[in-house]
Amino acid sequence: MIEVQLSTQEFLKVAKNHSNTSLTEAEFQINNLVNKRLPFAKLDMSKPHIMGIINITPDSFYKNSQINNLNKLKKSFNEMINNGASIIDIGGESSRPGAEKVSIVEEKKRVIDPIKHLKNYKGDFLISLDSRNLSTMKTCNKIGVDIYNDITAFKERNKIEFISKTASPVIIMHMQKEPTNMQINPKYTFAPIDIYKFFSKKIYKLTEAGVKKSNIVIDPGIGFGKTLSDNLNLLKYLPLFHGLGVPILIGASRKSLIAELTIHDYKLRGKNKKKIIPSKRLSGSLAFAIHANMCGVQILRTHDVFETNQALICQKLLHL
Amino acid sequence: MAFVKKTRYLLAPPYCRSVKTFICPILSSPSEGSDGLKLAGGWRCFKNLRVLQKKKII
Repeated sequence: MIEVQLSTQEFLKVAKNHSNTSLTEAEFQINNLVNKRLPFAKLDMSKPHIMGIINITPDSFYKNSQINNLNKLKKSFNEMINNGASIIDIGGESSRPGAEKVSIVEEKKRVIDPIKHLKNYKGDFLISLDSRNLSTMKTCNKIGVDIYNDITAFKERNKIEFISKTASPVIIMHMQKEPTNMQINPKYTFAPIDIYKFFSKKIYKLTEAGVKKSNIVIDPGIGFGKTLSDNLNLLKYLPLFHGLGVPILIGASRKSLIAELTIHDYKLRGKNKKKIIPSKRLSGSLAFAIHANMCGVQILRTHDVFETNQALICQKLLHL
Repeated sequence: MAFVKKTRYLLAPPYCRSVKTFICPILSSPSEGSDGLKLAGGWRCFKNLRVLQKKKII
């Protein structure tokens, strides 16, 4: 694999000098980068949005995000909405590395009442369901979930039929293998390109099945079946994914790559640091959120809405 | 894992039969210059690209 830096004009000129077919494809790819994204679930995609994470789980990797009663749910929800979240992502099954699958009955038991409760609130916010189970999606559709966020990228045919029939906005995530085994020896030729190709095929498959392209957001799945080097390459080459012509979501909030990078840096300086727990990973999360924003990423998925919003406010005033 | 080698020359013209070509925009702020293209109708701009190429296995 080689990398060459060219101006857009030079790139088009080289393509034109080769053939008309080459030029047409080059223009198509540039247009994919430039074309204004249509609203996603009525959200304006020409500005960044924050998605707040609510885990109705006893085993999510970041303990402070675990919600186990209505008062805590109300508190988290209000904090997120008042501090700039456009979307609240609710999940009833942990997808941390090594997590075991929970039964669909248990998952529904965890998420249905909280979603029903939040639907009573008036305001400019959307609820997204973080689930890989069709049955949970169908039940939540009846109680008014706005977006479906599937870590398996709607792998099964019947899930694709459901989202096509209901014309639902969806987030498709890339993950190698399953949460139980995804961190066991993940392999890529070059992660950004492999994952770009995965999404290209997936978007084609979904649109062929009747899903509108404007209803699709992609999530490269930081930490889902990737080594530290794969995650870093994904973050370095994030703008590549705009070539798919759909909005991008990034979730790096409090993930283990932040701990790995910190520990590595300590090691280089001869210091011993064995563990950095999720509650000590906020600064790294904000650094990645700012980076994603500078890469034009439209949705930032985070545990820390207030802090992420504050970082974006400060950054915006400096850069725009 | 593949090694990405930074060079000055393309392997072949973009999107020709022998290579796969991918483009990654190099982003900047609109305030840094008005002659760039707006990315996805949003808040970032680009004028230059990182062009990634690899040989197709035919």
